Amino acid sequence: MKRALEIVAVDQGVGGVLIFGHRGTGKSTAVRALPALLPDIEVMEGCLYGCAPDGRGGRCDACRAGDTGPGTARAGVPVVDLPLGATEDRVVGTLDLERALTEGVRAFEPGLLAQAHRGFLYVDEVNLLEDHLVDLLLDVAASGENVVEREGLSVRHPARFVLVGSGNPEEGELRPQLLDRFGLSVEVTTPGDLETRMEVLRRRDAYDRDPEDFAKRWASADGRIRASIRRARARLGDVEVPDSVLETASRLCLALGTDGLRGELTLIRAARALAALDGDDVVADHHIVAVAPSALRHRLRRDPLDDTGSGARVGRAIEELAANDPPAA
Amino acid sequence: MTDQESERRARARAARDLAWTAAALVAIDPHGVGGIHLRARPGPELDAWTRSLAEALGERSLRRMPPHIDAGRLTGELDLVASLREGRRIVRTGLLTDADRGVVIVPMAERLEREAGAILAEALDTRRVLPRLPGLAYAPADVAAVLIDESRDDEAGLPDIVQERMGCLVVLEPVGYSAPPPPVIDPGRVEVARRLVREVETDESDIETFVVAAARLGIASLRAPIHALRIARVHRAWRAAGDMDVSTPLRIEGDDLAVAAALSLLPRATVAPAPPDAADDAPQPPPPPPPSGSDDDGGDDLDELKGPTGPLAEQVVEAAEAHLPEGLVTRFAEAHARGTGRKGAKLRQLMHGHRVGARRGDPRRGGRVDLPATLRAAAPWQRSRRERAGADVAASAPVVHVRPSDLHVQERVRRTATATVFVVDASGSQALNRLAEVKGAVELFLGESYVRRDQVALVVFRDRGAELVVPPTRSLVRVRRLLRGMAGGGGTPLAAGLQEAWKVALRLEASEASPRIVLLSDGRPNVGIDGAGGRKRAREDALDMARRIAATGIPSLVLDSSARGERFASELAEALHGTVAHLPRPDAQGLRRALDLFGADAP
Repeated sequence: MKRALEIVAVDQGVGGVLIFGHRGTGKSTAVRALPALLPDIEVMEGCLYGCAPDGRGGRCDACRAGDTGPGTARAGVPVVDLPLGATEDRVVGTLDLERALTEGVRAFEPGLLAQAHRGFLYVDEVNLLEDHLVDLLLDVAASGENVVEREGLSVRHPARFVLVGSGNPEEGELRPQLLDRFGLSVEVTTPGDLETRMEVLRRRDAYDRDPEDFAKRWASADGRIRASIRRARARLGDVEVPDSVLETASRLCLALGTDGLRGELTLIRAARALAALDGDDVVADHHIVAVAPSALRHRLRRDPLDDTGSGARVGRAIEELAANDPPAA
Repeated sequence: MTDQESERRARARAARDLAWTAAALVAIDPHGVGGIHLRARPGPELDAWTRSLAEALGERSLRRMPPHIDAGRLTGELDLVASLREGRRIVRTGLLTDADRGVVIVPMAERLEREAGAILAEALDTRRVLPRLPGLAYAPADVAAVLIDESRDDEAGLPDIVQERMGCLVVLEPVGYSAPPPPVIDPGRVEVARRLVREVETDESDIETFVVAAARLGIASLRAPIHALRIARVHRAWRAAGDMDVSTPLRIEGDDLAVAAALSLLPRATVAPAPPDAADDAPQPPPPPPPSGSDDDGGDDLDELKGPTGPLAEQVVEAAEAHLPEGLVTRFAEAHARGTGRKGAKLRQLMHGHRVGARRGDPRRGGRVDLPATLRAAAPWQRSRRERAGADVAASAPVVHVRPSDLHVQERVRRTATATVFVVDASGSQALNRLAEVKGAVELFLGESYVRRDQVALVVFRDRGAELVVPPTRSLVRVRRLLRGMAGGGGTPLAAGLQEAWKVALRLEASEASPRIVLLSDGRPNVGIDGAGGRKRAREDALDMARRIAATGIPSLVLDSSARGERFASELAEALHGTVAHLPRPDAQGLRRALDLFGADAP
């Protein structure tokens, strides 16, 4: 889970992350810790959407018109919770009633998508979210732009965010079409050994007793993660993907019978981000192998009579591939 | 009064005192304790408990949060009326921010809306909320929640997302008039305890006790032992404040461990604790070293932890049980294992009729006026209407000109998903290999229906009675796991099977799904509704039950799986006002074709 979140933090293009696991395995906790672990972002002063000063990720109308700035400000990476049952109005934005009534102008009131721009949008229990909302979220996440055409409004604004969905598969499942549109999926399980479980309690207890001291003790660890993500982002553009690795990826997808090219692309992008995190200049087969389970497991065709976990099936395919043709790396 | 009766009353009183202790603890440290899931009916006990909590909180606020509260009211929103009056933006803070550092109390929490539940969960995790108004920063919302759950045993309980975050689970049962009054919570003592919480030291063995005890009780979530540890510390501070014992360092003691386990661990048990004599048989050595490095990916499999049952954990579980009414732990454990209640909550909320939008319409002709939509419709015309109304009006404070044509009413839909209740004959006469085919067919059927978001439930009858093997669900994972444990053999209690299916169907109907019953049997019942043998009685009982189902208008289908067709199957279908189909080999294709017999409304 941590790796997957780091990978999308390095390269947003990898797509959303789906976290499946039972209650109390630290899903929410991990996602909510993200702002503290990620480098702050520069935003245009006065911009409702937090556009980047260098225009990366798109500009909103106000920034394009020069109504914001020229100053910039630092802001934490937004991690916005999307509660189940939120209305579409609330998510995409709607007519600003206040200004419409008091000033008689037709203004746009941005929604959660705007708030999540350049950050993360977290949906707990994504498997219980209304289908049309999930469609909408994935669509916006893929295009990086929110287009609103309603109530006489015609607005478009940048909305680049990583969708993080979590859920418990026992409480209902996502449609396969939707599964496929998440970049990575991870399954978290509760730690099974006594020592790890005790360590969780120990740390929690230390935090409860003295939050400031706890934060101080972990500040350097947080800082290291932040630095490694910053370095990986800088390196990402220079990481090479050799043809042999591309071939490994295609063969793996072929062997697993994943539909479409999306899996393959995600696999390669994720492997590249991982290489950047590791400080490597070239993507190697072992990077592919490391990310393959999370990039592919949710794209497999379902066989209701096959009990084998989909993660295990990916593992098997990798082994078979290696047996037939030992990888070059 | 019999001994048994006085024992019962003593237990009920102990449970009641525990509820009062929970009130004190949550008042001392709202965020740390997280909240209380209080199973109680409205009545004098509940009133007294709420009063005590309010007193214990002293200066801090106790706010009521209606279960149908909307997101804006909860987190902060534009005060429309005041803004219009003043002609500028006026923000009304949300209820969770009003209750900052205090407690929100949710009556009828089993009706809590999904969105409100999610927002509350976020506040419990992060101690803040994001107001529903752009441009506003996070507002503080450091709260605990008291969720009063009035659901009956067979009804859906609290939404998982909040239930999981409650530190204490408490049952408040009537204790009778002759019982001594509940303990008094002195706000001064609460105040002292608040300062002492930080002084309480945690021992390595305390941590171990809770981790092991949680594992023993089959609790996979790590939140439970975390809560337990926190509660033990708060309880220690509470005791110290009572004794005026300020000798530091304060250490957690046996009583603190027991109370914490009774409040946060035992009620979450999925495995009933072993009776004490079983523990005596095999005195456990001290916990062995933790399992070696290889991290078992066995999911929620906690077996490894069940082995090293620390003797301390055993004692704590035992001591904790003394605080709870008799049989309660087993009841909780069974409920969790069956997955009723908590899972049901999900389903009900999914199906709930909910707002989808607004349409132009006159509220006098039915429907509720949708104020924001009406104002939105009126908004673009304000300038021209003001001009038309004349300068004198325009000069005064902003007035909104609303015409009848602007009026919008709320549009609600009831999403009725289809829920198919399979009633499967697993008796000896229904050959065992068929059972395997049926399992496969049900799995395949569900594999397809989850795309449509339909639900499936499975009732199995065999031997003397019927059992709900798969409670209503859309989850393939869950069905597969539940089916694995399904066995066959014995008599054919058809009537009992129908009765169980009927009960499930009625519950589904109450949760706004449209149920239908599919019976799969060879139509040769030989066990009556009361479990007694006899072919004739068994048939009569089955027909009788069928007629009762028909009377409630639930559609049904009889699939006759006998080799050559059984006349009784047709009789049964007639009594059910349903359809019959002959399906000697119940495979997936056959099942799908047969389900088409439900007519146009079938998927």
